[in-house]
Amino acid sequence: MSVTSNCVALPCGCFQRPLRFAFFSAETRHLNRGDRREVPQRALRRAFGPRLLAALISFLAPCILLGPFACQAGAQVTFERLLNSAKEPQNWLTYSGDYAGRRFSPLDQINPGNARTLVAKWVYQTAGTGKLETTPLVVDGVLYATGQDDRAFALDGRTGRPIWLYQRQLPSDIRPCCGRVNRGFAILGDKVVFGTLDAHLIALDAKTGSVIWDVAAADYKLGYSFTAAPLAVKNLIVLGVSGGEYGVRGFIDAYDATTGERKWRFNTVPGPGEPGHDTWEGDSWKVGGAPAWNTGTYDPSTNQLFWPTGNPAPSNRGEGRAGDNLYSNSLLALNADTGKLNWYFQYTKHDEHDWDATQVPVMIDTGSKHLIVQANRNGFFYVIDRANGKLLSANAYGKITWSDGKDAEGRPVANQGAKPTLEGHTVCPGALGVTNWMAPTYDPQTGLFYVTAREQCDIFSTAPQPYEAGHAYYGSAYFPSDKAEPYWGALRAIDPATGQIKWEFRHPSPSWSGALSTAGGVVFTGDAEGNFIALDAQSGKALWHFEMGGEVYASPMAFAVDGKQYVAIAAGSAVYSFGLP
Amino acid sequence: MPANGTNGQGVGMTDQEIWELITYIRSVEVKAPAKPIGDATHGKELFYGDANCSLCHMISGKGGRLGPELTSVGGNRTVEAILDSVRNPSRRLAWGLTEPTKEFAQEYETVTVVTVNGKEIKGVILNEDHFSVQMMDTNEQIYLLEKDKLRSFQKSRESMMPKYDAAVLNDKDLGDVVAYLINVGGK
Repeated sequence: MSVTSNCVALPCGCFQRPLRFAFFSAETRHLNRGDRREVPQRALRRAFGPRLLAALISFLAPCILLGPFACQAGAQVTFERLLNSAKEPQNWLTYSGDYAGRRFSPLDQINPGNARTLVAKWVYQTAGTGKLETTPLVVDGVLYATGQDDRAFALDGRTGRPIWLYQRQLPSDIRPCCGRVNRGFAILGDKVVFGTLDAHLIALDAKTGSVIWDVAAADYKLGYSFTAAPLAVKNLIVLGVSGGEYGVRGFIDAYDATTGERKWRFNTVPGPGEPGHDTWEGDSWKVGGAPAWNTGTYDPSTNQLFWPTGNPAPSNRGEGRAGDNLYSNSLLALNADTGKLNWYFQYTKHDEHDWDATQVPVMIDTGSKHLIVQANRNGFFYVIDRANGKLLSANAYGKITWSDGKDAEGRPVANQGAKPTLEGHTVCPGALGVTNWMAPTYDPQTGLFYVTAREQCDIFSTAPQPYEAGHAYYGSAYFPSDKAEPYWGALRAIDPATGQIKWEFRHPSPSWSGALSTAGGVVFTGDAEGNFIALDAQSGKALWHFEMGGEVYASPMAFAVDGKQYVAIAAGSAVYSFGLP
Repeated sequence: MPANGTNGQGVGMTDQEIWELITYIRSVEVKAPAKPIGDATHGKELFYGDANCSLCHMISGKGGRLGPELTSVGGNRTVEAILDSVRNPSRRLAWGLTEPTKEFAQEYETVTVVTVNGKEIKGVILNEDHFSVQMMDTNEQIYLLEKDKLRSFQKSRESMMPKYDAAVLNDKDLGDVVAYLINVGGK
């Protein structure tokens, strides 16, 4: 691979401080640090001779002084590169692989004809305990990922050998609801940025893993935390908060990537005087939840962020928070520069089933239609007009008993029979939804949307629960239902045009794996039994599988180094990479 | 709520901490009821004799392997739960494993397969994924099978354990068997 190609194209400074990892060059791989520094000078001397070199140096002196800046600007992951991620299919630059949220790789080496020959290339053990939910980023051969307890690491994409490791020193009294997890980095410039379980946003030097800036976004003792991967847009790092289980007041933040200064905050629960405030009863808005604990998408043509939000708090008790509870369980269209709300669509009004709507909203363009689609936790697949937030269709893609009717806009509404009671009763889907945070994928070649579905029903009950700062605030409990069928799962291929399921690949038990589609016509996913699975994107036929020895709680991605395609996914406490022999 | 794959229970706790808590709660459980509910000695005779429990269940290394090992069951289940498991062996199986209980890989689902040679095998599932199944038949023979090489693969939530109604095992004898289980499990 070309290591310094972006650098040498610049007028000055690049030899001074090549930003990329020089040891990835085949030529310099075995050189020590001192030798690497010598290489450009020796090469220059050979090229120009000593006298000419002296003249060149004096001509370029100002450049050399400014060199680091010039080189950084050229060699780094700029906003331009993020905008044009499809032009560098070897890289995976954002959580979902592109701004549209498609989790589609343009790489096509692995196809239905050769997928059966896939082999494991390397495994990286994090040495942490607990599950991994991360999606790695890959930039120019280097893989960046986050792990349990806010550790983070950079690996050689070809070998899995570590380059650096970062470990956050977390307070002992953090309040992660659902595992000490993190879903990944955003990369911008020479920084990789992630949110922490103690509600900080941290920028690390992509070359060394050292902290460049560290800002506190909220008080973790009140239940605020970050688990989602941020999204880099222009010079901003955008991230939503977690903590809907603790009665936080949700928000989406944008920070200056250079300094860490907060540029805007959108409160997902409107305060007094703000539109939507009257959808909350009394003071319930103060602890109304509506966190934004997954990564949104970005439409450069309108400069809009599309960010989904989670449940109102307490999640399973509506008494005390009468009203629609805006902007819980909503899709928000925000001006990326200011955080100003352009429009919203609320998937589930006044939710009492924990129907978090935080699933990735995926942008799809078909002809003149500019759509945004979401396979929602509540079991419906929504198609929305991206221009104005108008609902175009909502079709069930899993077993549903909570809703049997729609309102005038076509939005599914809860039936009275599904309302949680003190004694509890069975509702489908169960408390974890038909899907959850695991990433879906849209393949522009097949035109199909692939999503992990969970077939599980649960008993929902509710009980009064006073708010106590920093403590769990569910107002409920839920249990396995002995009236329900045994749990199972599937990866489903949905035709967005009709909402019809074209095929499904069944799992014996519900999976927590996301999915990846690729230009080679292969869809990848994982299962609770530890398999990584390659499927024919057209038919859903299994092409290959590999037992990784640990349950999958992550979403796959693809990259290439030295012209070879890899597919990576986390399972158990490790990151796995696969490729053709 | 993001949900952590452990049914959302144990807010703010890691999976490991949840299991440590469960282990602690089990350790402080009352190991045996204040009043014995039957004759444990007779219960042992029944377990290894006329009631045929030991054909499929093992206690302290003695007995069969087709059903769950029962040495400690008397120390961590209520009397009512044990009685119900004997009278209605399929009930718990019908629920399916919930995610918190997936730590115990085996669910004792009943499975019937027909191999490519036409051989029918019935038994319990030891482990299964989309592609393969590991099962034990009634002779405790273990089979490691690839599903796509089978003629048929049929799972059932009807337990292989026969339903022990009062005609098979009367209330007194059942009480004696439970007393034996508690006697062993409480130690």
